[in-house]
Amino acid sequence: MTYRCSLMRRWLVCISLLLPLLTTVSRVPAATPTPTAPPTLSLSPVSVAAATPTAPKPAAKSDAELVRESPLILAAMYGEKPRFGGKFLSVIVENLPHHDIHQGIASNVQAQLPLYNGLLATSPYDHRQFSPDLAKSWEVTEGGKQVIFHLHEGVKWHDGTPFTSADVKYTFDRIMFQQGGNFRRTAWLAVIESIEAPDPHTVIINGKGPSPLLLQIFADGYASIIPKHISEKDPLNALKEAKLPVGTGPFRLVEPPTTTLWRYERNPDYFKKGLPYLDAIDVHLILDIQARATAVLTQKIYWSDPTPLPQMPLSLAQSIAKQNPNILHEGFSTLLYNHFTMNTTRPPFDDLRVRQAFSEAIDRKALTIEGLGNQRGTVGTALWPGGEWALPQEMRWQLIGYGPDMNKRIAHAKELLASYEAEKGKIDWSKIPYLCFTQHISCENAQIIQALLKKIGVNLVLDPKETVTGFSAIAIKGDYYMGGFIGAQDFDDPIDAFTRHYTTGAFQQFHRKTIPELDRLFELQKFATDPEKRKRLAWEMDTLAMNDAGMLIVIWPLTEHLRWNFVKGWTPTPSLRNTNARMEHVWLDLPQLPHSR
Amino acid sequence: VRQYIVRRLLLAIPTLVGVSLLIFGIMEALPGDVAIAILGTEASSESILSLREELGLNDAWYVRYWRWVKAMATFGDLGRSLFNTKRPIKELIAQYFPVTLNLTIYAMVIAVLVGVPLGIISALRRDTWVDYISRVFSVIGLSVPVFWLGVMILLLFAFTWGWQPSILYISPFDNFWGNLQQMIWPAITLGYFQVAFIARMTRSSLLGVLFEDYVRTARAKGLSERVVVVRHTLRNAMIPVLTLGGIQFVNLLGGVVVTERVFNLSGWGTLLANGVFMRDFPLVQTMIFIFAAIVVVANLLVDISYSWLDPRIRYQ
Repeated sequence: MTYRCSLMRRWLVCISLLLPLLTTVSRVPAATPTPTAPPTLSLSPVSVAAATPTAPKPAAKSDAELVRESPLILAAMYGEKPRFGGKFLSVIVENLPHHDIHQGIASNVQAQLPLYNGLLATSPYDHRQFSPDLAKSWEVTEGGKQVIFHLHEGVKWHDGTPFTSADVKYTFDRIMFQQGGNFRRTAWLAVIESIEAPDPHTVIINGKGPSPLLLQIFADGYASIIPKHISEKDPLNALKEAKLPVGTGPFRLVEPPTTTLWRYERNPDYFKKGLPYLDAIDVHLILDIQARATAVLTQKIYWSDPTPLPQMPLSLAQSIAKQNPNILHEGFSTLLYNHFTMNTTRPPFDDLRVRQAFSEAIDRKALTIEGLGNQRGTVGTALWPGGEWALPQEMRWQLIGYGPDMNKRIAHAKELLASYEAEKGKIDWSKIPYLCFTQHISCENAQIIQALLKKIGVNLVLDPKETVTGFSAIAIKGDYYMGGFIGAQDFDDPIDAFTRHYTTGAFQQFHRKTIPELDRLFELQKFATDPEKRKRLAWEMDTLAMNDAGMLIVIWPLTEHLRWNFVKGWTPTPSLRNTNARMEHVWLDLPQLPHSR
Repeated sequence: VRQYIVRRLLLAIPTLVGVSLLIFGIMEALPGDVAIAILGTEASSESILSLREELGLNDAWYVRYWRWVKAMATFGDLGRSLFNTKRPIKELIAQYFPVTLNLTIYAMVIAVLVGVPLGIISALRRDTWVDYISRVFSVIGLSVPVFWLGVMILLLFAFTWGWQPSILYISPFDNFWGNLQQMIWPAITLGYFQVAFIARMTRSSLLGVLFEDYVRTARAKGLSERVVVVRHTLRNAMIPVLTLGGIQFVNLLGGVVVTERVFNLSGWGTLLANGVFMRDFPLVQTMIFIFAAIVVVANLLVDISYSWLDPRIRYQ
């Protein structure tokens, strides 16, 4: 008995010693930079344009002219006074398959962009304006059909090799023509005829016709210039397997990147004077959403992603932002969309009436928090509703599946199905398989669509699949009836919008159907010089695609983003591959950092 | 004993060959495509098909099986990952191993240091409030899923104290205190189930032995309770604990997958989970094979330890 008591006493003593130790271990405080700006929590849907800094800026000079004078002047025009130094703790949310920025995924661009430059960039404060990058200036000639880029001189790769126009030509030729060039080249091939490098500091882009894309394409993170002297040794694999990738960019790698960490330091020989503001960047890989959200809260990272990806659930972002008023939570309208697709090679979806009936029955708004969903978003068509080509609401209301009166739409849907059955015979609508993806929001949307289609007597049987499995069924094998996933455009331009899913040869034609009239209109609008005429043609194409109802763009969700309010020099952009992820204008508004280097 | 070990090791060869075939078969049956994981969901079907060809995924199954076995058998680099910049699997495993080893050691230390005393006290104070508390604690540990516990700990600490483990792995050899700060809660998350399991096993084993004749005899001889418990009772009671504890160690490796993901630790669990999500077949096959080999070795070590614990056990 004495022994038992003694043993128990010892054990209790051990526990009582251990508990305070564990508590102490856990209470190590996170670094707490003093915020210098008042919190501005935004929980209402905002467009990208509205989310840009609101400080007054004189219209006399463009951002390109201002940044040529000095990046500090540009920042000042937007009410910012950058501080120099500090390490930025950034994050990516997907595993990188390799180190080739052109053959990888969006996270490749996000992780690697600090290494590289393009010919152009977008202004860090206004994504609609171009800014010089490796090209110090450019001229649009031959009625908009040709662009001549004049390159900075004396630029060097991080390994000391001089950068020349040959690198640019090599990069763009590789993207467009060589094996290993990416599927993303569709837009490039649509507008670019050839690339010339007449001298080491000039690049000429010969377009197939005049198009705004001839500049937009080169102001995208994807158009980063890669080192010819490294890549040409093995165009397919040299960059993929590069241990220490090099670029011309504002940051260079401190050490070979691991699967979970890209560690950058400021490039002291950067050709843009005064940039970057930061001394270093650590880009971590955090896959788990909860871990990522709490990492923002505990300042292990300073934002939820470098360009908004559709990963962060609204409710989680809201709960994190509630914990600290200095964490900004914003929803950005980006070029991402949720689609709803029917395989037109499989009956009954080969019949227009069935597709239109399904389209009519789906109340798009129901997929958002205004209806049954958990996401914020805007109802739209194939043209980004936040952009200049957006189909006007009054025209959208005329489309099949977009009318404002749901009762009318349901009645019309039932008529369409009845007409189909009268001609083709009775159909068992009780077990229509619907392929959804367990990642992202696809299966949540599927449940809502399931509920909506019950109103016309259709019962969906959900078939949830992992992305790598479901995408194979939907994109390669065509082994599906109906499905829904997310998609993205790179540019707010009808060429990019329609070459993804709708034109003949579109690279993601999941519904497996072309419309000859749409192809004809596409060719007409492609190089139309009158913007109004082009817009009308684009709207006609949009109308054709949505009324054909093979592949419906149902919602353009807002992507939720968290960041600390001391992160400056960065604004949200519609494109996932925007050049803001290069972070050369990003600075930390922390009082301990100086205003000069 | 040496003969026994050699025999067991020889028997392990057909076991591991069978395991390799089974793993390969399961991975073959798994739908999905690494080419999609590499190119992303914006890829065209042409680019996916082209990459499949480049990676040799269109070859016949026996060609791919032989390629994998050859890469493993030569032991040069254990083959190459299809993801992760096609790095040698050996390199990846070596890079991720320290975190998992560190985590499992901490979890096992917690399991043994807390579980065994808890089981002993519970048995010695049977049907008292101490026993009841211990049993409730154990039942909770056995019932609570690891991922839930991990997320709750993470959210509790982040929301309450603004604390989260370091994102970067801190080696105990560089900074032991920093390593402890980083690993203690993941280890508790991982180890709680083991604590509960070992406590329950220790308690029931001890109760089974405490009333044996030889224990009564030991007490009648006038030995102190401490000597009776430690020398006469515990050693016999530990045999089933050790047997099942060895198997539980293997289960610990399963828990590692979840714990590492929740706490963003770059260990084998993360590597394996990513490999499965990305359909990185060579990596997953090799890692599962290594896990299988660990199970075989762990079982062998457990069997060998019997003879030390119970001298009556002799290997023929």
